[in-house]
Amino acid sequence: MMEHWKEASDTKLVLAVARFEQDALAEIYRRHGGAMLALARRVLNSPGLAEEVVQEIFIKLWRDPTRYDPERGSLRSFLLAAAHSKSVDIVRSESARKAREEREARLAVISKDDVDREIVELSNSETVRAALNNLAETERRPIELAYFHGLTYKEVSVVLEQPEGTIKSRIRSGLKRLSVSLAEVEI
Amino acid sequence: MSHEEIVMNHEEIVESLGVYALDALDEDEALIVTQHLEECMSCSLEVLRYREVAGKLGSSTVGSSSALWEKIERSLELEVPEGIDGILADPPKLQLLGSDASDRTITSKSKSHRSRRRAILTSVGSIAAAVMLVLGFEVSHLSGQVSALRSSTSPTLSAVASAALSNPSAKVLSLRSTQGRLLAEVAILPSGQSYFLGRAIVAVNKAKTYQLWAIADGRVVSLGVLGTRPQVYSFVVQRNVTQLMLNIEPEGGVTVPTTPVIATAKVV
Ligand SMILES: [Zn+2]
Repeated sequence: MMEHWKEASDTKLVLAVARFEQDALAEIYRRHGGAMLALARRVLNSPGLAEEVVQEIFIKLWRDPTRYDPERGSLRSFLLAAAHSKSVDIVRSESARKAREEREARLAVISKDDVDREIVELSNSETVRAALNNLAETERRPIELAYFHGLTYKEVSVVLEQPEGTIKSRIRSGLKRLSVSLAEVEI
Repeated sequence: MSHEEIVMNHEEIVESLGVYALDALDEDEALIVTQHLEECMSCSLEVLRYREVAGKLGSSTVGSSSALWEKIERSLELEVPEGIDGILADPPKLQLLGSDASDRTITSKSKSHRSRRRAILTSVGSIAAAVMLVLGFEVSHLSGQVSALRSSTSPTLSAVASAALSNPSAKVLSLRSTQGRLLAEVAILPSGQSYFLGRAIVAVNKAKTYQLWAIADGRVVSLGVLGTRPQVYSFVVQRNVTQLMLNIEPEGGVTVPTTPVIATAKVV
């Protein structure tokens, strides 16, 4: 039964989920589940928690597929944004004491090498890697620390020993630059 | 951590959009930006652009694990409350609405279809019967005459629903409060495919939901649980419906109305 979904567009799949087609949800999982899991793992540093995040997002999508609006971007970036935001919530949750301790330990050991390696691991698009590498380090590192490590800009400012306002504007200008250099990249 | 009230002017909000898109703002600041995005098109477009960039950074072609999918599949089934299987012994007809707006009707016996429908049926409140006596309706359980109901803010569904409203063969109904205020419009196409379009609907809190009801063949049936702020819904009516009603119920909905109706429309 999965076969005829293989060719369907993401939007068509979401419409099918809205019609209760579980196989369409399975196809969405097949296409995007791996990337979501990898990103959640990267931010959470915990395979178990990452699986919970992905599971929760798929259940939400099943209950209310119309939360995804095709006019507001690709399904993949919608799902990745959901995975990222949920992971960050967990990392920051006050009650997750253990996670916080691990996180502080991680904060202490974040090194430049780490950051370089994770981009190689995570993003296997040559273009994406090249675009990131073309950014000035002053823009690239804040983006990486915030996005891949789930740090707040205030934490980034502590790690990089730069004013909070500077971090904010560098993240924004870096993203602006990336949106130009990655305009051609489809995900 | 400071708990002072924070204020951000537009310039500060704009400067925060990149950080916001990466989920790296503090919670209280993020809240301010989220609220701002609802009313500022240019900021919300900028965030969309950054989200797409973030998606590209975070995108990898790591394969998905089938063990995790099995877990997800199992938890979808857990959404189904126990013990009401019998109610849906007769599988409902489902209306398919394609992105090209071409309608097809199928009859499905698939497990997942049934679970979705059953998920709508939650508890039967004990005060429900009394309320129904007061309202003078003959109450019945859902009998398969109304099927899939989906909510949306999706432009595709909105467009289809608006088109249905101006379709000359559609019955168009206005759901009005007792004061005559128009809360929603419903278009019923000859096929039974119907659309609900919220007009002046106020959001209710998360513990509650709007629920749409019909009187069909003299019985009250649920047309579906619409959520906290219904905008566009698609559903199918398969028998003689004489009246539609809208009320507010506890989150998840109920099988018979437990609160007063806030808007009604007669089907003529
Ligand atoms: Zn703005």
